[in-house]
This record gives sequence, C-alpha cells and structure tokens, in this order.
Amino acid sequence: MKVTNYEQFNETSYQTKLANGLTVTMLPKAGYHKTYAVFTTNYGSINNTFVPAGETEMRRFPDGIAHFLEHKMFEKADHDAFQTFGKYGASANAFTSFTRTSYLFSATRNLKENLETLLDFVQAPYFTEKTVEKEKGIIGQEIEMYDDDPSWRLYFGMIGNLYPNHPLQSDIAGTTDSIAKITADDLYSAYRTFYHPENMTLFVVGKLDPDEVLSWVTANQAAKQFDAFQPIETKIPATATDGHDIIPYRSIEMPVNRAKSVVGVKGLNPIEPGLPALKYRAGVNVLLEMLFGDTSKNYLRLYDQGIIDDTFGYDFELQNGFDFLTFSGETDDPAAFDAAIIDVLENWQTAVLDQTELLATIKKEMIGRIVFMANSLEAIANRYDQKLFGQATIFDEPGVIDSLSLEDLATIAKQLLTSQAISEYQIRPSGKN
Amino acid sequence: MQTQLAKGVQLTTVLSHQFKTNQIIINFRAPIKRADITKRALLANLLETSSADYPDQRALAHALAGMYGAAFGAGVSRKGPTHNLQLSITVPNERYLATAEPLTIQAIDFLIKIIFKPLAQDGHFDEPTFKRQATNLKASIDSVADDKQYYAAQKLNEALFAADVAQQIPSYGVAGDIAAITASDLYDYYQKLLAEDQIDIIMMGDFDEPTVIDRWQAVDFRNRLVARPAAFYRHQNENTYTETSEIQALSQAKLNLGYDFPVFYRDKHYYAALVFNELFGGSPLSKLFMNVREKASLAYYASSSLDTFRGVLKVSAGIDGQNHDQVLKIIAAQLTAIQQGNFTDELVDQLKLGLINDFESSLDSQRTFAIQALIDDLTQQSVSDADWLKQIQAVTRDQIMAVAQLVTLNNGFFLSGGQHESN
Repeated sequence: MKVTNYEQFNETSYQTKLANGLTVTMLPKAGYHKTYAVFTTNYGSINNTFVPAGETEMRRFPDGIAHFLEHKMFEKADHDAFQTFGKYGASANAFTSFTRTSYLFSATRNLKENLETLLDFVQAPYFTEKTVEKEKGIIGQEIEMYDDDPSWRLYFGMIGNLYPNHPLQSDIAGTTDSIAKITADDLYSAYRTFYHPENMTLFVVGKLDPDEVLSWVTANQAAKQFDAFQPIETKIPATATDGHDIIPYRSIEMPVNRAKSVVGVKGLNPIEPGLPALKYRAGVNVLLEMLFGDTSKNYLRLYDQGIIDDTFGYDFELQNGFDFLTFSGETDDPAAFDAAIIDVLENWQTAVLDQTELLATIKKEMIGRIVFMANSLEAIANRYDQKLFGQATIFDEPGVIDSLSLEDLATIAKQLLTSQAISEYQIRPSGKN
Repeated sequence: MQTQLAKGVQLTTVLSHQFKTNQIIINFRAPIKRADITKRALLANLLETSSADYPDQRALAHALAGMYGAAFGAGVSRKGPTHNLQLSITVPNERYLATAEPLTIQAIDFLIKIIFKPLAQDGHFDEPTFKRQATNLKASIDSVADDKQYYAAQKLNEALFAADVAQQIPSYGVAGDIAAITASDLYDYYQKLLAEDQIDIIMMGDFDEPTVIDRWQAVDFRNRLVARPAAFYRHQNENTYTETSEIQALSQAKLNLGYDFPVFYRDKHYYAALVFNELFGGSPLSKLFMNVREKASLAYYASSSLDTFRGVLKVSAGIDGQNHDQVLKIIAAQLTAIQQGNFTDELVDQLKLGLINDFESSLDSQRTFAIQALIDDLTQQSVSDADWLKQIQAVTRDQIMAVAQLVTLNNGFFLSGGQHESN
C-alpha cells in the first residue's frame, strides 16, 4: 500500500491496486462522522462506439446508453440496491458524465455492509427487456425536464457549436428517440466492456480505518470471478485542430424572461494526462480569474457598464480527451455581451502581462479554496480522476498552484485563446424582438 | 459558549478541530412584515457588494482574496414569522497555510466594517451603487420564474397562505416593490434594523476563544428594546381542497400540493412527523417515490417536505400533464395507506436509520452548527445529539399513524403545457 503524507494539511492517503486490477484509494478524516465512497468506471456518454468485450468489430450504440446503464444498475431480480443501502442507513446515488460513471454512498454507520453493497450491486448486472422498457418512461421524463431548463439548453447548445460531429454534443441522457432503441443486450455489451475492475477505481474518504477497509474490499473482490481484461477500443471522432469545424454562432428562442448568452472556447490541443493536466487546469483557472474574476479590472468595468451582472459565470471543463471554456450570463443585449467577452479574450495580454501582484493575490485565493475543499468529503473524492490526473489528490494542488508563473499563463493563453476556437450561442425570449 | 453582547445581541462560539476553516455568521432577525421584505433583500445585496472601505466589488474581492479566498456572502430567509438577514464569512485556518496572518481576526474586523460602515453619505446609500443593486435584484427576482419547479412552489405558497400576505411572498421580495424604494428610505430602514433586530453571531472552528470574544465585546451594540419575535406562524386549516392552474409553454407539468399539518418544531408530534415525512415522500424509500415514480412510472420526481415553523406539509411532482388526475389519486392513496398502518416495521426502522444518517452527516458540515444555534435561540430550547437520536428511535408505528391523521389537503397548483388538458 502506498502511503502519502500531506504534512501541511495533516492528512494521509493510502493507495493500492488489487489483484483483479481495481485501484483503491482511502483518505481517513479525523473527527468526521460520515464516510463517503465512490466506485467509478471510466465510461461516459461519449463512449458510444466501441468493440464490445468478446467481439472484434466496432459497433455504434444508442446515445445515452452509459446513463441508462447507470439507472438500470440499481434494479435487481428481487430487490433494488437503494433498498439495501436504506436498510443500512446509507444514502446512495450515481451520476454519469461525459467520460465517467460513478456510484456512491455516504453513511455514518455500517460501513462494511455499505461498502459490500456498493461493490456487489455494481458488479452484478441484471437487465431484462421488461425492466429496460419501464426505465424508458422515467428517463424520458428526465430528458423532458432538461429540455425545459434554459441553462442546460444553453450549455449543450454551446457544446454543439464547439463539437458538432462529436458524441459530446448529445445530451448525457440521450434523446427520447435514442433511448427507445436501447435493449438489455446493449446494456450487457456495454457492461462487460467497461465495468472490468481494471477500468475502475474505488475512493473512500471520511471516518475509516484504511487497513480495515482494505481487508474488506480485498476479501469481497477475491471472492468474485472476472474475465481477463481486454484493452478497451473506443472510437471518438477526431475534431479539427485548427477549429474549422466549430459553428461560430447559433441562437434559439425559448419562453424565458431575459435573454441568455454563452461564449465558448474550445481547447484545440491535446492535454497530457498526469501532472501536466493538473498544472494545465490550475493554470487555466488562474488565467480565468485574472481575465474575468471579481478581482479583475475587466469584471468591474463590464459590471459597471451593465454588460454583465450577478448572473455572469464562467466554467472550465477539462476531461480526458477534451477541454473547453464557457462564459455565460443573462443579458438584455446578447450581442453586446458576446462582443465584450470576446474582446477580453482576444486581448488577454493587457490583463496578464506584468501583473505580478494580481497573480500573487489570485494564488492566495486559489490555495485558500483548496483548504475549503479539504472540509468536504465529496469534493475530495470527486476531484480525484485517475485517468486524467493519475494518483493526485486535492492536497497536491496547492503546490501546483504555487509553482505557476506569468510565463506559464502566457503560454496557456497563447494556445487556448485563439479567435478560431471561439463560438457564440444565445437564447432569446420567444415572442420578443 | 454563549456571551451576551447587549440585550438581544448574542455571541455563540463553538470550538472544533474537525474543520480546516473558521466560520462567522451574523443573523439579523425581525418579525416578518410585508412592507420590509423587499427592503431587507435589497440591503443584503448592498452589504454583500459594497462598503465605505471597499467602495466597489473589485476592492471587496481583493480584500477577500487577500484573506486566502475568504468566502463572504449575504442572504435572506424566512423561518415561520421571522425574517432573517444573514451575513457570513469563512476563512481558511492559517495553520494550514504558509502564513502568519491572523485571518480569523481579520475576518471579524472585515464584518464589522461591512456592517457599521456602509457605502453611504448624508443619510442615503451611494446612489449609483444603490441603483445598480436595485436593478440586479429586480432582474434576479424576474428570473426566478424561469425555474418552473421553483415557480410552481412559489405559486403554491401564495395559495396556502392567502390569509397573510407577509407569508405569501418569497423571502427575497417582490420585483414590483423595488421602484418605490429610495436610497434614503433604505438607509433609514437599515438604521432601524441595526437598532432593533435581534442579532445572533455564531463562530465555529479552531480559534482562541478569549481573543475572539474580546474583539466582539469592543463593538458598540445597543440594547434591543423590542420583544423577541414569536417562533412559529400557525397555518389556518381550510378543510377543503382548492386547486389553481396555469398553462405555460413547457413539456413537463408540475403538480404541487399543500397540506395543513399542525406539527411544530420539537413539539410532542415532532419526531413522529419526521419519520412520517420520510415514509410519505421524504426519502427514496418513501411511498411517493416507490409508487408514483418507480411502480407507476408517473413522475420524474415526487417528494414531500415539512415546514414545522408554519405547520404545513408540501408535495411536489414533475409529471406528464395528462396524468394529473391519476397522480392526484395515487398521492392521496399513499396518505390513506399510512393512516391505516399499511407499512412494515422494517421500513420504519430503515427510515429512522436514514434520518439518523442525515443527522450525523450534518455534523460534518460547519454550517449546521450555525443553523442549529439560530433555531435554538428562536425556540429558546436545545436538544443534545444523544437526546435527538433517542427521540427518533422511540417513535412507534401508532404515533406515525396518529400524526398522519393530522394531515389535511388544502391547496394545489398545477402548471402544465396545456396540450394535455385534464378535467
């Protein structure tokens, strides 16, 4: 077991890889009442074309299958995993992102039983045509709810602009048409391909004893049979590195009171996993803070001009294989909003070069934020992403932030903030001009 | 530890090594009045974004970033008949940083400046700042209607509390009030708030208690001459069902139901009501979740919640509009089933475990201690963790059935896309 001490934080992490390939990470938190465990497979909404385990040909599966599989995993022949967690007083959940599916619980009692429940329900698939059909109604409702949500439509509208020929642009849950095609056999194919322990991680944080947890997990896994791991072949269409496939502008109408607009920037260069990815994420976040954060001159200027208000926000999405920025807000004049954001992006030099003092302040702020996250079991567990950042935990981040120089930021900005990578998407109130 | 800083002004300090941050929360509490709600919401916005020492948001943001990303915020909320304007600041504990700066003391000084030195002159708030925040508040209130789930909940609230306009409107105010408020009106109201509101200061974390108490005692808080506000508002049972409906362009319909439920925080039915709510619609094991969502596939969400400071129970469901009548029927059947004892002891044990899990988990959030300190002061009573657990464990099936008898459906609000008209 690999033991890492984070002296500054008075925390220790424990990591190991089991015989069946499963990576287990544990982080005990003194004084906590709760334990939070996340069981994750590197399988998300973008992985819908792959060679199923035991087959030799690439096959295309319906959009939304990873999310559908997540929903169906809880239901078994004679019970529901939620009930089992309920019996042990845990609250359980699951979520699917573009690249990962995670199953989780949090509990203050019965840790052993809850851990076993988590491992067992995810490792014992049970799908029938009947239960698959029934789920279509529930997920159909979920999709409809998101269809009515302007923020969701705005976000996916932008992704559609940036990645027009890529599975990223379809909703994580799929569409009512695509999920109608999903069969129990499809779910088994996806399950066998992506749910091998070698492609999964278990992260446990909170009230726990690492030796005890590891012995429970090891025994549980040793009692199960798994086929030899077959390296996963997936097909994700390449996107143009010069950005020529990006749709520069689209707008739709919806019944909203105020227009919403988003400016997006697509990362055109591949990001190397591990420490470089961790440094890239920290660097982009510092850069964004310098350009648009509430300590920046731009923010105050745009706020005072009424171009942005408290609804303004930005987000940096970095996952294994892609990254993009979004800047969004409500506005009475979407064209002016977009123009102002793009102006700042294209003239990033004025806000970054020679700003030694601002950089020092922002570093303080970002390091402080990591201390905040160290209070949250969920933040500690959910920021862990083995495929993207290797074994790094949040306690590795302050050192990375501290190492950033203005030159690092300029290098990132030059690569990322290029005009051909920028796009706009707007939602205008229906029936108004 | 509790320290009285003046009559009606109380400091609570809670020491714990569990968290890597220190948190300070100040609550200004007053009886909720229709005329004051929007003013208080606007004040929260002004205090959050400006002060004489930090005249614009950038200056304020720099001060916070310099305190290692201190999180500062202001907000408003309702608890029964009480309106609460809250300021809060959280700072990293300096022992986890490469710095010797006394961040916790800096945070107290920051809050004192925010409260006592607002951006104002000659008896009015700074005009440009005031105007901008008034515009922003109006925009944010208008936008709430875009969140259909929230909108439906608010319309139900209006119907449930038709008897009292101060209970009808949201704690963040009404857009239509804003135009009539001037920078000097609001400044006058703020002086009144500073003199008359009950003030609770709660500090939670790992700090030197005497130093912190000294710092607060140096502030000139005046004695409050106003009586303590009542803890509860009692909803009037109408004994009949009235449904209002509205049609908007949307694909998923919302059905929100409001019930009279005269059970109040920590009264004799309180713990049974907590278990009842888990059984009815408050958990994934509940009757609503299992029967409306899972078994009948009729809803994406269907859940219930309690307001034990006003004596009401609410149900909200996201449904296909054409299923309105069927959903209404199934929800009623779940309530009847509980009243008739149609549930297993095993399920009750699980629900209790779930409540205990939520309760113990909440002890891992720093904010919980501030919320509890506020409620304890409102209700003038406190319960130990051990006693809370004992009370939940002691709830019997008879008590759950009895408390279910107290539920009376009063109001419904149905928001639909209109294409599936139901009768």
